[in-house]
Amino acid sequence: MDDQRRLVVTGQAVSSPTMLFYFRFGWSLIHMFRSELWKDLVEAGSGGPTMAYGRGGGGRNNKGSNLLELVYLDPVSPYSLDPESNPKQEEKMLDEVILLDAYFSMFGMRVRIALAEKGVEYEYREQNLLNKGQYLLDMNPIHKKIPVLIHNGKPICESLIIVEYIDEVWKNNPLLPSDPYQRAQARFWADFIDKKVNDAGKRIWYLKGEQQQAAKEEFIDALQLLETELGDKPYFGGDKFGFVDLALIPFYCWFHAYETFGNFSTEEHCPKLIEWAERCEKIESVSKSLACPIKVYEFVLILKKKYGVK
Amino acid sequence: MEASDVTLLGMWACPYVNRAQLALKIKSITYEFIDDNPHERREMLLKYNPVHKKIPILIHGDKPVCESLIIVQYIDDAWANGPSILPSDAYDRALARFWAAYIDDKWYPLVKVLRQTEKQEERTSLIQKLSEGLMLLEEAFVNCSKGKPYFGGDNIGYLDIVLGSVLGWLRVTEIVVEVQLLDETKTPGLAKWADRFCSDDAVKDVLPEIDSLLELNKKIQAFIKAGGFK
Repeated sequence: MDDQRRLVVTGQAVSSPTMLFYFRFGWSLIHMFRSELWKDLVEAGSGGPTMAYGRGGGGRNNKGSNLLELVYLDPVSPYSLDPESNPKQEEKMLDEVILLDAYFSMFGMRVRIALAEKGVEYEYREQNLLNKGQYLLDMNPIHKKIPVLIHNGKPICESLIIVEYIDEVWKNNPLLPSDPYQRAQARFWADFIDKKVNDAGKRIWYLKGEQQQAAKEEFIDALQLLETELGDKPYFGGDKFGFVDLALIPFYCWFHAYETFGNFSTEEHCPKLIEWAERCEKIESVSKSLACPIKVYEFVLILKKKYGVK
Repeated sequence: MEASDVTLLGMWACPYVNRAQLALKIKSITYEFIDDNPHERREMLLKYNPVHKKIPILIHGDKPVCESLIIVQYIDDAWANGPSILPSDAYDRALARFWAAYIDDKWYPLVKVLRQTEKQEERTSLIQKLSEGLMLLEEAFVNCSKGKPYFGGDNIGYLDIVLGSVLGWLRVTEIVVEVQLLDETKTPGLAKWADRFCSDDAVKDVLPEIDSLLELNKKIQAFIKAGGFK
């Protein structure tokens, strides 16, 4: 009898412009389960099917990039299983990896890309940032933000810290260079992206007039500096997509929104950086993880309305 | 372990510079310390840190490393044979990095603002926020130290360096504003840790005296009142 106690439903999902998904179901039971489990699932309140939907891990059991897996969780954690009733508990528990995230978050995208690059299976849980759930608040009480990675019950917060953690735990396909100086450089540029690109980008859609103009100039300056750092290399990581590429590429799906609200073209100012971004988009882990730029733009319209920004 | 090709560009009273010095001390690395007055050594700043133009800058074999937290991690990586600065467990490392980011992004900046503001209302609000932050750091200390003397366990580690380096300016702020922030009755673990940290021989060698910092603070305040940099 398998102690995984998970029922995974796979189906095909098609996204609509308003983010409603509909499924054509093909039930496929992946694991054997006891009859009590089925009863638990049917009767489970908070652990029911509304809790989670998720993408499978990148690479390993990928049945196609449109697949979404609905994961029904047994409300009882595997770790509280009675050893007497389940003789397999002594065997090594499989990793439980949960990502609390939000579709439009560039910071969340970083973690999605990292997990996909490593082929880690995980459960994706979309969070409502306007009405944060108790689980998120429990897992990140200090900042109350996404993304949060929960690995075997232990939460890790802050996107770059999460990515370094993922890189250290799953050692295949390294994201950070092994050379100490190159690692320091990678961390430096990732930190630069957080300090300069993110802040200026937000001010472009949030502000108007002179303040917006200043934000645009800072944004373009930051991108041009990054473009110089990239030089002739295909990726910031050299020949291979790496930590700095991962830190920056999620912002690319926000460029359309920044450009439209700020009335400028990034390609005009940083053509090589746009080439780099297009090169990154061909990588499966990236294309699967980035949000659709049109949807990002529509989302920002909603944010602007909410915050009373014209 | 010695290295003659290591230079640290910094300023004796800057806590971010002190972090690099503490890390170098732990690894027993000899280095040249260029005590920098930013306005006199501008060329070196522009050459080695053109992006941010700030200290500290660690120059190892003519290759610069900038940003204090990155420098400390670099020192740990590059001199891997010495005592470890970051924890060995990946989760403990993530926790240490998390709290370091909290200290630098959320908590410590308030210390400087408190020291420089004269409005009572603002002071009250800042004191409240700093005290709440210290309660969180107390909890962090309990979780990270796991009953041992330091955040890093038996020995001074990453988070000890990050928080310990700002204790001097925290004390200066307490004196100037006439408030007790680090309070043994509210955060006993942290208060005892602070005493222990500051009494450590390696730390005493590196961190500036409180009196010197107070002196410097007076000069800085006078400079700001006179109009600051034009």
